[in-house]
Amino acid sequence: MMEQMLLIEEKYRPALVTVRHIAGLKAATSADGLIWLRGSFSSGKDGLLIRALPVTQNYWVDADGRLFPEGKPTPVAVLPTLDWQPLKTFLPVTLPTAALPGGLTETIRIEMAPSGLVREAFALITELSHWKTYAETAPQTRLAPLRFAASDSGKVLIIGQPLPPLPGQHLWEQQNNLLPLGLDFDPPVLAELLTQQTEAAAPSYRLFNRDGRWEQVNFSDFRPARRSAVRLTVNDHG
Amino acid sequence: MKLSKFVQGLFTEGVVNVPRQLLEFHADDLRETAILLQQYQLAERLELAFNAPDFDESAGLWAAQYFYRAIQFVLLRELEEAAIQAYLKAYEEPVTCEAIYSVDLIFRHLAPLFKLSSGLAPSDPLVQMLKETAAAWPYSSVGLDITPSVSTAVIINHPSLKYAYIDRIIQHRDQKRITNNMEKQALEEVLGLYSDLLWPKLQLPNLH
Repeated sequence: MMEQMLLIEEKYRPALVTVRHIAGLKAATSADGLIWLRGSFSSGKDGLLIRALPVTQNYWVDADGRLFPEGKPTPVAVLPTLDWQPLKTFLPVTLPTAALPGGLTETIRIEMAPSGLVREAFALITELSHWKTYAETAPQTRLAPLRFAASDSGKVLIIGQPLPPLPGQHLWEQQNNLLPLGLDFDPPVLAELLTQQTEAAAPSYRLFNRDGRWEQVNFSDFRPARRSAVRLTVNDHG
Repeated sequence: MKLSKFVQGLFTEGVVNVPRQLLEFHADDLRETAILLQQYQLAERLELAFNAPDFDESAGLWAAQYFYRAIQFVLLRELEEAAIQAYLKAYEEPVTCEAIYSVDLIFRHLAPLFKLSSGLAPSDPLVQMLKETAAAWPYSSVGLDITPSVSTAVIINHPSLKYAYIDRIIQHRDQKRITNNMEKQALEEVLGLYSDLLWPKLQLPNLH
């Protein structure tokens, strides 16, 4: 039995949001960066949504994994081995990484002390509900400069300028350390020491609490603050 | 090429084909186009602040057909002006929020159409007609150096359209679109205290 297979460029990943509700769809990313989509592409309304996707290539695959271009009798390639995931799992926007509650084993004792220096806020931690309310009613001009990472606990870390006027904890940034406004390391040189001793596997921020505990938030956990992304993130958090 | 295929190509790749003949659209094709527009706007409305206007199917279909024909006339120069007048008819229904929102699904692509027609003489009747149409749909013609021929009150009085319209003005730095206090206030509302950051060197004139 032949199964249909669609290839989509990575840059069109957000377009998959429109079909993520369709049952049975699975997706994977191949080594060349293309997104592969498989499943039952019905002819009803769901079928129209599928057809509206910016598809780069449309294949049929047979039981032996041979790929036939749409309408062609001759295979042109073999289906690579891919890590197939249900579309809901595959789409980062639907399951934002639970960034904030994570953590690393601390090897340095961190002390915080009040600082008299006035610093500009770089990031904001607020409730997802506040963020959702803001994103529902803010102009795109105010959302576009922002990126956000949401946690399963209903918190969201927002970076960018200007930050939204929401209640929460404002943070300033130094060498990828995010510290509560009004506080600094004690002594301040700890910032450099931390940077040297905590080489993360991926580019990341170290997000500090007032008591000196910290957790790692990877740069890749942040999503552009598109209104649809916020709305879908909130939906996924119930 | 069917209208539905044309719209699908416009939505997915921004690439369309049109035939050399002025064939009528079949009812099935129009129905399928309406479904495509409806489905597309479901995703689009997620990007608008507040609640986007409802989808107006007839307005969306008018825009799709107008756009299709306009491209044909730009490409097929042997067609008579009478045919242009017959096929590129202005929108005849009241221009509501719903119509503006639905027409924009297609007319947001006016810029490439204008670029396509840039090879024609500025006095060409088709060019004049396209400019008049763009002027009649200010929400969709931001950044095209077009002076609206209609009031923008319908847009500014709808919270969702207002923000999207001002967003576009900021994005295109189309300061000429700020022509009255209502629009100026909307712009100031969006920029807030961050005018220097979001629109550097903006200097708004005194308006009445």
